[in-house]
Amino acid sequence: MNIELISAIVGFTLTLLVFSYLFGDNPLFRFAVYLFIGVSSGYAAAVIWHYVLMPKLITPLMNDPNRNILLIVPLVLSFSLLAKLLPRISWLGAFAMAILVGVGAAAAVGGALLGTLIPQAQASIDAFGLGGASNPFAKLGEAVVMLAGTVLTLAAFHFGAKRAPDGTPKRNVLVEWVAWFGRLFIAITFGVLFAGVYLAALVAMIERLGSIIQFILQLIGS
Amino acid sequence: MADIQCPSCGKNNPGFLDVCQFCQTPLTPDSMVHIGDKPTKKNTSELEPILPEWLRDVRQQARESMEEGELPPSATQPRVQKNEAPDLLAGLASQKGDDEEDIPDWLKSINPVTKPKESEPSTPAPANDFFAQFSESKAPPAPSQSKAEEPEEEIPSWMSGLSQPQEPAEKDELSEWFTHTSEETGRPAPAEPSAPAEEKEDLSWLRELEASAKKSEELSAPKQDAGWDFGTPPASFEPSTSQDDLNWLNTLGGSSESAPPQAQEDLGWLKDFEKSAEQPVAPSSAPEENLDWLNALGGAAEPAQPSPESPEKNDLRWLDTLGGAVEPAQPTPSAPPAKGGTGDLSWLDALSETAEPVQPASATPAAQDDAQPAQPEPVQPSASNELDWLKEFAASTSAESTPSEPEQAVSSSGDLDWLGSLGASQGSQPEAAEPSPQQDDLSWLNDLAATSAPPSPSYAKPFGTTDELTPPPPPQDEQGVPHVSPFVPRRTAPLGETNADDTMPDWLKSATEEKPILPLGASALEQIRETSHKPADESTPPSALGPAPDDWGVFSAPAESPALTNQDVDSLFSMEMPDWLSKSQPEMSETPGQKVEIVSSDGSLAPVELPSWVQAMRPVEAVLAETGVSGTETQPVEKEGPLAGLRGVIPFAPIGSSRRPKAFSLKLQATDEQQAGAALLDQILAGETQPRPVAPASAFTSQNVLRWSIAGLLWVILGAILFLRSQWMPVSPFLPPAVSAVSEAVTSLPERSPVLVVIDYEPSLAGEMEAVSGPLLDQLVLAKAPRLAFLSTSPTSSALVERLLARANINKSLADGGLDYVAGQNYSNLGYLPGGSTGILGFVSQPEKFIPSEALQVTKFSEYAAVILLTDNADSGRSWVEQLDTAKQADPALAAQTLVLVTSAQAGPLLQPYVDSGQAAGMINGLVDGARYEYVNGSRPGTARTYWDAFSVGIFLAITLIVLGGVWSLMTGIRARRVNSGQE
Repeated sequence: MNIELISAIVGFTLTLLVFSYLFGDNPLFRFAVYLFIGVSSGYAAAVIWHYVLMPKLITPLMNDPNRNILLIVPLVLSFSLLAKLLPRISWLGAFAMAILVGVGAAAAVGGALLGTLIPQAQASIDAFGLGGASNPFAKLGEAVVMLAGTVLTLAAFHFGAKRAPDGTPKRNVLVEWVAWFGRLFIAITFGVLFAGVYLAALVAMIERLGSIIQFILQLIGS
Repeated sequence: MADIQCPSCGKNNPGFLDVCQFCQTPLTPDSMVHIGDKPTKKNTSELEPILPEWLRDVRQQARESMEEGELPPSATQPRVQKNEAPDLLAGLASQKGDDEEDIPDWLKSINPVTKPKESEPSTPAPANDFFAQFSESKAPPAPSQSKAEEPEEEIPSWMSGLSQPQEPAEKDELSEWFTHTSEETGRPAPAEPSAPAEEKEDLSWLRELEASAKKSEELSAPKQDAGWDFGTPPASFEPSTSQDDLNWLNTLGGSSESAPPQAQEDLGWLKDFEKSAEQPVAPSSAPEENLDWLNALGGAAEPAQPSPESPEKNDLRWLDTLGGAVEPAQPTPSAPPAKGGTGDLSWLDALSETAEPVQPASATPAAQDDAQPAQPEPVQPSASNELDWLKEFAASTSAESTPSEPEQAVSSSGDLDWLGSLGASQGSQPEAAEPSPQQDDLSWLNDLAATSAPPSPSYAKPFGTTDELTPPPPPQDEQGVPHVSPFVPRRTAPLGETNADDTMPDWLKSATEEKPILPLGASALEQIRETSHKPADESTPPSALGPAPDDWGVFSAPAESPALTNQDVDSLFSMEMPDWLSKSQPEMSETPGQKVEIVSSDGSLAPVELPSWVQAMRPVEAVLAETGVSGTETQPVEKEGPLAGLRGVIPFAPIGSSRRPKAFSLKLQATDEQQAGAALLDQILAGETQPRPVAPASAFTSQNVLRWSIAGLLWVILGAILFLRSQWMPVSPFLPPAVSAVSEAVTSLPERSPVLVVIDYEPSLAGEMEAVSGPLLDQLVLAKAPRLAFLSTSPTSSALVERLLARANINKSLADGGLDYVAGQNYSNLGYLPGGSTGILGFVSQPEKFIPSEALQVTKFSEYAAVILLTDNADSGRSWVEQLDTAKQADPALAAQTLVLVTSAQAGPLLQPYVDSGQAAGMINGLVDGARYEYVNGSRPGTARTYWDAFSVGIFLAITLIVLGGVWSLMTGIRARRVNSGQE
């Protein structure tokens, strides 16, 4: 039996186990999920060892420790992260965690500022530039919708209100309408995202169904 | 009644006795004080047997004198009123014969009457106490007039001088006198004056006395009396011999021998004694502070003033002051010892020679009239001759004396200071011991001897009857021989053998006279308490306390001596004394009304017998006096410690305030407007988060069946389509701008340029991502044949490279319809890039450091012609876009680099803004764009088209189910409304 057949059988079985979730949470589904998580974690650990630790830390230290003496620092920090497993000495990994969080935050903030906030703000402004547009009205409409969606969405999160004569809080009528349209934009966005998730899941299901059919066809054909 | 065996001495006693008749040890437990007992007056005079015999003799003589009724009734009136033993040591019943050896010889000689006498009812003590006159040192001197005006005065005028300020010269005279006296004895030290007394726990001071008396070397060696002179530091003292004999006095005050300051403090009682004499109502606080007597015993009378003095001064200056410290002493640096004691003790010479005519007392008053404080008048020849025996005595002693060690000096000083302070007045003053004035000072003693020609039988024997004293040799002090304190037992022993009755001064006689013994410890306190409540006018007039201190003429009146002596003794012993110093007289000490029932303590600790001195310290009087006072009944009774059994001694009210601390509200101080705003916000948030109620429905019909129905429908329909491999669903050839931009970007890439393909999706979405990215990679390989470098930011994505290339038919051979891309040659898998955004930034900045591999194929990130990002996660895609855009801003070389996004349908909407903003060249979003791109690409590799019919049917089913579901929901809603309307 070749490896492809084995992998096809395993894949078919696990797919059925996952589909068993239609009947609710059951041990078959749990087994498939646990197996998937375990295999993924093991594979990730193997990848990390193979692509990170060995070529970037162990091998340089073993081959030429004098030149790579500074690698002891990440080695120590890496082992200090293991202290997080023990609550009594978890404080030993605090320094390494601080470095990771600090550096990561710095990179993320810098990237968000220079890669998202400023360019997106600039793009929102440029949306109203009708100079080079072949269809200025369409572009203008697109820009207006984009601006309206942005403003209305922000207005939806405005909770300013006054107390009504009966004591209940009551927003301003204009703000109430703006917020309603804002919530509409939010709903559309969530609908699009849900549709994308559904489409992605649908493609995944189709792929799984196709693999099952292919497996069956192979069994039948073979 | 059965006999009771004494637990101490083992002798049998009658059953009705509470204490042993032999050793005065309590026979019954009731006689002991236990913790928790109520205060009861107890006579601790049973301790008297263990007192030195000389002391008992003194007490006995005092009693005898009281019996004889020599005292005028007026003088003893206060005593009668107070029902208290008049004298200090009155309670000390004589216990002669038991421990006679305890008494130093010199004291034996002083106190010849050693026979114990039965206690007698207390005789009213004279108001003008003997020592009361000490306090009147500041009174204006009236040398001779006082004698004339008060012929019936009981206190000799020379005694009145005791209350005058100390005159060092006079002290020196006395000390030298004693030195001579000690020299007269001519005996070396080894005599053991006292035998060990019966010991008790609370009588350690007696043991100290005994021990000190036994120390022959200490007796032989002269010692300094550091505490003797208040105005002299111990260092200036010089050795004196017989001071150890008076250690009991030191220990009496509770002072340690080696601590001069304490010794000075111990002598404070004398100061208080003086004060009490001056002010009969002085001990007002005595009832409240019943322990003051101890303080008074040991209290420092006056601050010491450093003044170098001769040892004779230090030793016996108290006797000098006794001899008449009338005038304030002038501070003088020092005085030769030889000169100090020669003439001062002439009065003792006169005492020794009772038959001899005494010099008129006018000499001494005349000297006082001269108003020469520190320079008494010279002693008359006769007086000096009379003191020859004392001089010889002192000389013989001083000849043996050697400088004592500092410790001895200190200890000895404390022994006799209290006596020295007898004559001290309001403040100790540096002594000016000059020979001639001292002799003059003591001339009053000569006069005293002369005037007391008819000696009283109770006069002190030792001074006049001792063989060594009778022929008084010339004082050796004049020869410069250091004086030795006369309080050496070996020297006093012969004195005791002689008949000193004729030579003893009246004051000593009266001191030795036995007086009615009362429990001083209790009665004295009571007296003090009574006197404290008396106004000053009601107290004994100052005149009654004694004549003027400078009334030296009294000493020349022998007829007055006995009475005055009694007064002196009374005043001496009128101090509040513990009952352990007093004699047991239950009928006097306690009254029926004062009896307090004993409360048995129920504490866990066993009752402990309190020492008698502790019992004497108990504020019994105060408590008894306050018995019946409203409010005290409610106060708790002390159960432990020396105050056990007492009620109301400790304030009942708790310390501090019983009220609880003021509570401060922790409620936030907010205005009404602020509270309204907070409530409004709370309502808004509650409305947003409050879920709307859902109408209950049948679980089976609504959920599972529907779920199973939908699932079955999809499985059947999609399975059928897949099984049939139908391609009847058309694919739109129109490409969105973002997709077309991707195609343009691919076509714009240089051939065989390195292209970085980032695989960042999970295996679960591998089918979609492979179908979406396959046409792009196929086009790219076919059109440009780039060198592909696959990099993954997800650990599980790196394994999907080969699968992706296989599904795209890139790594397959040409025979198999592939593009024949070979790993390592045409493409390389760089593997996993850790670090998230940081790793991306680092790799973009320095790719060779993060991927140290030759497969990198580039040295700089800008060498990559394009970056194709395959992702199903918007976050990872955003990170790549952000870091690349940041790198592009930093490195202009990256500006021309093309970024193409191939995303899953779930991540495309979130990454679309980056495409619209131009940060990404284009994007292929999901299978829809992938199918279109594949279609444009000539339907290569065909994966998207395979899924397209099923995908389209699946979307249609989804839309249909959504619509049906909506319609069903609408119908159920309308039905519910109708039902509700029909019900209404």
